[in-house]
Amino acid sequence: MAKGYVGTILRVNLSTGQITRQGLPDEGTLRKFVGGVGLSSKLLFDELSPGVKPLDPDNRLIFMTGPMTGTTAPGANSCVVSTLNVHTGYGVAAAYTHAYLAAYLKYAGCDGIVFEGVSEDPVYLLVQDGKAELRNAGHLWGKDTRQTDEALHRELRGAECSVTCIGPAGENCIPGALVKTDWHHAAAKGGVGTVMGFKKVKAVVVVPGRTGVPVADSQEYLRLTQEWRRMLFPLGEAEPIGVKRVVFGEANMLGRNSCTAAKNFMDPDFALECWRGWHEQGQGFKAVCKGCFGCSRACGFKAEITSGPFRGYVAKMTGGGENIDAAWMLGIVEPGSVLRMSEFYDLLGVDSGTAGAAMGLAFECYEKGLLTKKDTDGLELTWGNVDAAMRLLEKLVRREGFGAVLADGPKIAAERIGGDAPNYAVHIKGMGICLHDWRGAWSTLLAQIVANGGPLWQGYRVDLRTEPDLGYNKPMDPFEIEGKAEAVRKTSIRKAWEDSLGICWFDSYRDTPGTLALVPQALAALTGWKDFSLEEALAVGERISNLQRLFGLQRGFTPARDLEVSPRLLEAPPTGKAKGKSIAPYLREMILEYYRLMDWDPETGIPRPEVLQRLGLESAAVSLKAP
Amino acid sequence: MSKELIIDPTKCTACRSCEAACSTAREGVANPHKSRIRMVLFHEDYFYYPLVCLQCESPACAMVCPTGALAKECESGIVQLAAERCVGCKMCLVACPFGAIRFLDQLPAKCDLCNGDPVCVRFCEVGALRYADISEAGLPRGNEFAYKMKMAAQAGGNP
Repeated sequence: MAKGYVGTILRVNLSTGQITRQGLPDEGTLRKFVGGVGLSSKLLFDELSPGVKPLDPDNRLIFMTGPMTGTTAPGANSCVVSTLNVHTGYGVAAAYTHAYLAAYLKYAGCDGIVFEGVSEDPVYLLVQDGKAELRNAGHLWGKDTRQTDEALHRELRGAECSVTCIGPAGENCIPGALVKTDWHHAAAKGGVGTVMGFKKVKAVVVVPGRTGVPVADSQEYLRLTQEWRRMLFPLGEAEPIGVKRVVFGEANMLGRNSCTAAKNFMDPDFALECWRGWHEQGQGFKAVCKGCFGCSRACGFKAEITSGPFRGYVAKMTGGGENIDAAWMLGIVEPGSVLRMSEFYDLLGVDSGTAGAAMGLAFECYEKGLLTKKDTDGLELTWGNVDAAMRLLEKLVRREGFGAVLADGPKIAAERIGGDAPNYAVHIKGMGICLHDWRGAWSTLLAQIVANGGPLWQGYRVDLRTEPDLGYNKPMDPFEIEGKAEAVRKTSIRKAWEDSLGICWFDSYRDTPGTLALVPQALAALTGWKDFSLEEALAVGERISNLQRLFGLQRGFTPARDLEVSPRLLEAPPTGKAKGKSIAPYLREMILEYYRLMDWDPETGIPRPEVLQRLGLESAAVSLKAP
Repeated sequence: MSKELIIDPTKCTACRSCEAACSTAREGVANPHKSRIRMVLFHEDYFYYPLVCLQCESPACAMVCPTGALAKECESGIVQLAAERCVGCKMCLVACPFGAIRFLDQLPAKCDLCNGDPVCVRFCEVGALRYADISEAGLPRGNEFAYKMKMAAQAGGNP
């Protein structure tokens, strides 16, 4: 057995209540898929028959760590949550949550958890050293994510543990429901919380036990992981992400490049105004940072609002800006209200990209007269009306009144509103995007469009930052067509490989040179696969990408679906750095270029036999031909 | 001059890498339960304390040790365990006022500063753990305070 793993997958059958401990796949399979998104995609592929729908009891919900999770690698805290994508019905949903869940799972003796079936009554899973049990969660049903977390901590009498739960959105099976971990972090994409709610699993609570993660060559692994960390954080001087400096800092790279979502993507320049007020008043908020396992970046934070209508309220947030954009989407600029609104998505347990886009659409339709107070249950959806926004979000996650119109995501909401509404919606394949205005960074826009599981972080931008290990020593022109597809291919393969390790991508993809070559060496020292090379590592990434593609194809994906991009994302922004620039005329060619580079047939989207053979996926493709 | 492990809990973000590093270096396994440094976590209050042997000048553990298995080395200042002399009476565990001794495999697993290059420090980028000259231990925090005073003075107010 390779080191780095603890050797057990917990299989929880919710229909029967039976919990079994299973071994991991054989070592050959592990070496091909490693862990994290690789292993979860492999399990989904093997276990889900193509006819299964997202909200069928037979759908799986998988929590998976990687070999590096819980070790000295930087950001050794990533847990992928995987299921059949709720929005598309064909792709793999792969959402990542952090904090302590992943490391504590391994310390409790589990590499991962597979949920199958559906429970009759609400339950939560408690994992402790050597044992796991399903407990009644009737008393937690209806609680928001923070209340649930607090109640479970009380129930465990303050024992050190990690709590991952859903909010009302998950309970009500709202597409785009998320899974929240330890107050600050969430796996938000693909409807993983929707499936968890459907299965009636309110929470997963993990108490770290006495299991350790074995390391094959401990001195070498320490040396390599130390070197790796030194590339990311200078010793003794590493500042946590710096709530004051970064979160409430001046307009960040996205803000400066008109990539901040604002007013439903109607006016990128409006975002600069948002940033200004946010920076000026946010500096006065009483903020404390909150770290995750294994990372010095500490991007989570809590902040006490010291001005405005929410003065005195303490919000608990992650440093990533997608939620904040989801407040700016609604024209909310007063910083305390922005913070309160941003956190509100997490409290109710819904992805800000999906619910935020549906709400942004409603606000724009209200402005344009497509909706009136009569349609919105009396709510005045004027830009910046935070009270109306909060009440609308509550209605949305409970499917009440007008909320029910928006509950199924921006695309369906636009169809229900009718008229010109579909032109205003922001979505890809019906799913909310990772909420920034990617019309200003076409490598990310393309990556979100071609991502296997709907718009997820697959690949990342080379037009706002560098990626020296892949040959991008300076940022690419955001609107240059040439080379974008290649960048998406290279970065998505790298990301899939690194997402198989069980580490947070905030600690791997940075502009720092050298990590690409070092990480496979570290995996070799950890697992004992002495000849594990960079080439083999990148093949892991490519294999995961191709397996996810086959998974989609089995379930009805066709290349035409890659063109399901909402008109708003294809139109040229009226202001900002991307003013007058639209990806639309080039999109089809860019997608085809990506297919060519991936060696996928442009007509059918099927990977060519030579690729599958090289990656050892021939048997997977056989199942594709037999429907 | 002697170097000491200096703890600044206000800088700690609870990444627990010190525990993972310590246990990997000493036991070949990343496992907080087998680490010589132990994080005490108050997540709700955003306060975290790395608990570890402080290599006391008058170590209570050594004083009660009936066989002299634990003793402070003059030169390095490290309270060392001579495992072959230990009878496993656990009196050191009883005596240590900080609860910094943990028994593993019938022996007190206590910090020996990795003989002068503590691995936990190498994995603590935020500087909650430093290995520095004790006479200068308080300086960074003092400098930070002085910097705040300077900023306040420049802003024209009393801090």
